[in-house]
Amino acid sequence: MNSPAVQRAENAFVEFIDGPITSFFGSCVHCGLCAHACLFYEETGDPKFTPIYKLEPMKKVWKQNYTFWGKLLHKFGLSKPLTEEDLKAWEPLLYDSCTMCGRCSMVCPVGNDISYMIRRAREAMVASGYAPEGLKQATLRAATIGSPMGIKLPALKAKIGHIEEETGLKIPMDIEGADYLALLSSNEIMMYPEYIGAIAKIFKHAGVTWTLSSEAYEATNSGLQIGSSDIAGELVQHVVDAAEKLKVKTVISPECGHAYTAIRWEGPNLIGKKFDFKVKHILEVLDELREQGRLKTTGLEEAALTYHDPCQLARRGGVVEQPRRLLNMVAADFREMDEHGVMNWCCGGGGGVSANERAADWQLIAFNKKKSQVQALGVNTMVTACANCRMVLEEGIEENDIQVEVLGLTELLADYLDTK
Amino acid sequence: MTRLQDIPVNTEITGLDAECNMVDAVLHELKQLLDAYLSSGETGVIDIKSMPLSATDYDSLKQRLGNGEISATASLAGDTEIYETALSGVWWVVHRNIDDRVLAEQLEVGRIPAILCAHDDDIRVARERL
Amino acid sequence: MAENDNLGNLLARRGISRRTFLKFCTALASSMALSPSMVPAMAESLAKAKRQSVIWLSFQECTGCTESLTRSSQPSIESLIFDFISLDYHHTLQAASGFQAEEAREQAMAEHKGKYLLIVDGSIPVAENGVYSTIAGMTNLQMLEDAAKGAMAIVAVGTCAAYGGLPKARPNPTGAVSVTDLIDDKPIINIPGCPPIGEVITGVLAHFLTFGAIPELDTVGRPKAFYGETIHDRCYRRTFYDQGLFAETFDDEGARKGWCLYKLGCKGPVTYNSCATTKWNQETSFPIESGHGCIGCSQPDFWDMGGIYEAVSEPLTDLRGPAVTAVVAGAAAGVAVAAMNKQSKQSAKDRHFKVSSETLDEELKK
Repeated sequence: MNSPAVQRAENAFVEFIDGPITSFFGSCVHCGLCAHACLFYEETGDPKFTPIYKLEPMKKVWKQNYTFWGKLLHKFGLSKPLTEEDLKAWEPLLYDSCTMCGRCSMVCPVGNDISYMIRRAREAMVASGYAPEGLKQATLRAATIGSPMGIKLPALKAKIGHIEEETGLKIPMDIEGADYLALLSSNEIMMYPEYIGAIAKIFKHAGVTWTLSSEAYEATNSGLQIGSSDIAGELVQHVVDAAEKLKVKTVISPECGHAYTAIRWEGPNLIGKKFDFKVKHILEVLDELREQGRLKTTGLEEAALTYHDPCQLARRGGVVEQPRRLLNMVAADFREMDEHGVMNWCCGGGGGVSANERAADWQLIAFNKKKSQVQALGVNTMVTACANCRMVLEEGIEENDIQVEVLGLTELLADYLDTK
Repeated sequence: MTRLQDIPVNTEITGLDAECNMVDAVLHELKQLLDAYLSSGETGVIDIKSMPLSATDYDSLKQRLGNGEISATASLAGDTEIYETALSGVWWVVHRNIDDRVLAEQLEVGRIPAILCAHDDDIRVARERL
Repeated sequence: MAENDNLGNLLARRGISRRTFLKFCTALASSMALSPSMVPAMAESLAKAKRQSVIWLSFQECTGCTESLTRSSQPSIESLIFDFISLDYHHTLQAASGFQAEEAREQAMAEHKGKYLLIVDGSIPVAENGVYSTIAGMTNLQMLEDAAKGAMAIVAVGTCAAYGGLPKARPNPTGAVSVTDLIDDKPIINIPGCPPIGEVITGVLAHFLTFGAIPELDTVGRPKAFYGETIHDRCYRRTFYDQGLFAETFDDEGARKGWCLYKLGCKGPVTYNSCATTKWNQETSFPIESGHGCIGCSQPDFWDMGGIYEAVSEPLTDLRGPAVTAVVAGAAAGVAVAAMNKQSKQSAKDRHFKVSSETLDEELKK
């Protein structure tokens, strides 16, 4: 008899292998193109990092349950069963060496969405208990406190107090009927609270109303990263409840990648209900304001700079042109990296990797790609729109001892607002 | 053998119109058909139309075979063009229908293409008419 | 035309020389992928072919198959053969109507018993004893069973007759089935397609007349000469597929440059037919040439295989390799497999292990 962990994994694999996944496995031609799309393979050359190989345990279950020969062999006990060793060996491959950046999905010649498969394979891993400890802790904090970094409301309020003092602007909280409900990410509250000041300035300038919610101030969704639809759904539900309570028409996903994927793309499917409000990324909102002529800037940033596309935003979310239009308002010398937009390279810390201490070394190796991209451009400023990317990039910069500054795009815009 | 790192992530548009080495394959087959004819008198045909030749392949094949001494047009419910290539015994035959659409295109190997020969049944009809 | 008249005499009467006939046969052989060296023998044999009685039954169909056949360009071997056969019953084309038409059918069946060729287009509804489609008060089911008894062979023209076609699409309210589902004691040739290519229909007839036997068939009853290769393998856009160049939308640069339509749902890789070589409308083009992917209309159950614009995922019917067993076992087995998959998925859902803060907490304490 299988161990309970294996049973749970097997069951979850069967549960989460859907139509697309069966066809993906069925149509994989083993070409290996996905290897070269993977940051971890590219920087190490180690074939175990080939994206589709990371799905071997899931493939085993698929074979035994969904293919004619696999079923037959399984029936006669001739196929290799899923084992606890498999789960143990693949846990680092599925969690530490994959940021679910989705680059492999772009190059697959038969159109397999490998990133989607990894996301669902993680469901089985977390169900069996084979998920990284760091990510489990973050998810536990997210599920109990509402924040993966464990930021409680008083801590947020204290931060807000400082920002209000600095900017002289009131940060609205629980205002019913505001135009926008802004969500934040843990990283923004802890490390880059400037973001909160920046949106306050911009929204005042644009003449729109907004609010934070004391019941759902975080958009960060560790449930999605660890691969638990149960928890991811709960976290989305908090936001939906708050948005409905405050009767807002639009919820703004913060400068965070996976938060956007969770609330914007997976959200309604996770809770099984259509949203009554719209979800937009802050950059989409800013670009709309720009288009309406409500976002005016003056002056230009003279330093040469480049833009790092957060994977979930650009590749998985389609927010590619907005940041470029916004940047061109304020940057005198904006340079594109060789591969950008939907084909960008990940920072190396998305999809829960940055919350997983065990993956720290691999994350740093992966950073080499970004390092060479930036150095090839000869710029010292990198703008991005994801606080997690920003933190991971800063860690890499510090470790490599290079002279690059990372900025959030929203803050950059706020600095050049035309306040006349 | 192609190594994993030799397979590009981004493919580039190169040589789409380039020869796909089909010409050499056709020439090689012609050589064999000529051998067969010389040794046993057996005629042979290559069906060009059903071959996946690119436009460049096609032109190049035409150029490589050249033009010989004889050409003929047969009116057979649409024109059929026949000419001997620069290689004696290798004939290029194109059958078209009334709408000028190509029905078949072949390379025939032998003294004379079958389509040029009169059929006994028709000769019999001719005799009856006299 | 007398009973034992042959095609050669018809040619002579029409003033068609044997040279011209040889030319037609060359074209025919080329389209059937027959060896060109067989052409002279084929022309001789075909010229001696006797007039063949054909009974054509139309059931749940749209007449597209007949249209496809009668649209082939003139003069051609197709029209010639079509003129040559004795089409004793075809309720769309025949002049007679009402009881006279039905009488013609019964007469042909009696006179040519055991010798006539039965062509069927359209699927046969069997639900409620076949009342969903009747001709002259007779159900399609009854008419097919009657006519099949005295037939030498049956040709199922079009995907409806061959595999049930659109009428069989889920939920199949009329209980539509194919000819092979009902008749098992006669040779049956399937010429699927929605519609099939006119030249392919006559090509098969020509083959039958020439060799007096049915051509070599694949595992789902199609002549290998016309259905031996996938659209994809003979597609002029194949080179783009090999180079990984795909149109991503119908109006992007790739689409304009004529790149491979795989990602836009082209079913070419899993569809066996000769559209890419024989083409359509007097050889003008075929769907992929006009910028639209193949929808796989010559494959069994193509209409229930997911969206037309979804990239090929689960193979429609793989005729090679292990899946052959499943195909032979028949559609019923396929349904059973799908049902089993559904079942195991449902029970997996029932056994869902809920990940919660409690379970995580417990694991972390370990």
